[in-house]
Amino acid sequence: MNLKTPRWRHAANGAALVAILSAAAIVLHTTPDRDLQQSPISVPGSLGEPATGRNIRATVHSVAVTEAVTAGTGWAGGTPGVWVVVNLSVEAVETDEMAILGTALLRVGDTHFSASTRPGRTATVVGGRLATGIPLTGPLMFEVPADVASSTSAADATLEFAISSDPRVDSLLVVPVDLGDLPVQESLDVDVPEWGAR
Amino acid sequence: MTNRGTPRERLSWRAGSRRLFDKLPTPWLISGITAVLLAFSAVFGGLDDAPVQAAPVIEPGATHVGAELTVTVSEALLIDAFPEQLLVPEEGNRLLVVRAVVENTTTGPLRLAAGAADSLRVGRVPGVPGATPPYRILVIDDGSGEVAVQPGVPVELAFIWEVAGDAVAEGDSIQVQLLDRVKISEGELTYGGLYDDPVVTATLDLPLGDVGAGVSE
Repeated sequence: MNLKTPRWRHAANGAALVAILSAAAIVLHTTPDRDLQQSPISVPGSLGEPATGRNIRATVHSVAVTEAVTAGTGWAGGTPGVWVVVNLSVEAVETDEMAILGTALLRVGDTHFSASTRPGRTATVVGGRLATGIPLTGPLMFEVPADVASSTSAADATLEFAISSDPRVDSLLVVPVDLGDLPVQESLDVDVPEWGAR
Repeated sequence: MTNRGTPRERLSWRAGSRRLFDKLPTPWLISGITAVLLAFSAVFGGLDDAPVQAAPVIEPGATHVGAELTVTVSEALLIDAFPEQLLVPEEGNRLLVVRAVVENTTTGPLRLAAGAADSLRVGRVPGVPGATPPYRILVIDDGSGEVAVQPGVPVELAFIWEVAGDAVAEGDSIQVQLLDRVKISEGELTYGGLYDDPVVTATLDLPLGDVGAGVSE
């Protein structure tokens, strides 16, 4: 019979199949995963300069490492580690509805620390209600192990701020700080949060 | 295939059993095979109760390394109230306090919420059923009631339950259970992990102390 499929057709079918599978593999392995699709939108900032996101503007005025800290409320908690004390101005940009400083993290290498709530609601700006255009200026305290400041990744530490406790698909202000460069103070007194820029 | 009317022909033993087998309903066959398999496995102990791995009992003061938390329970005691933390039990009740040093070995802060029995709980306390979450968790250093244990920074906590005044007394032995959370996955819609029921990974027996109205320390 003369109806036999020629060999080159088999080869072409095989090649087409390989091409389709390769294309599918490329699509499969390069599609952004859920973490990437929902990742926060990073807004890089720098020490002393305001960084502005969708509904949050923050300025990190100073960063200090201290063995003991006393809040403006009189709170003085002990820790086997050290405190990283940040002075921060933070305000809402668009609306003060649902505007609280919900995410305030210190990221050192793979590890991240949340701003301590131990001093109480009135002593630091974490969880504080923000006003549109009127900065809330006050301290943030991070309780970290004593060896963090001397670790190799301390130079690349970052402070991260967002308007909600769930920072996905919204602005995340990322301010690099060099913890390794800071002297460890014996004690530090800070003020209670106040309205207005420093 | 019917041979009605004719005298029933005599079948050989083999053909007779074959006909019987053909008449056997399939469900009977399946049940029969299952029964044979079960009986066979029973010979080798297949139907015995599965051994329950009892959580190891550790000494008071010993450090227990869990999946997320490293916990060292030091003592359990009764106290009247913590008025400075506005923590005053109902009339006639007292507070049962378990003191423990907790270190977070993960890479992010862990919130230990009162009302969630997923890190430490007590057993053998009359009026406090096994899975009762602590009524409050306080940081002993400053009395703070919002506990987020930061990675690598050990913190001494007081896990507090309210008990009836006559339920337990000084010298009674209570059980403290240390638990691990079992992570299922990251949340699909929610932010953060989803967790299955916590499992007890160690227990310890502690004699109860009693500090009356409280000690100053």
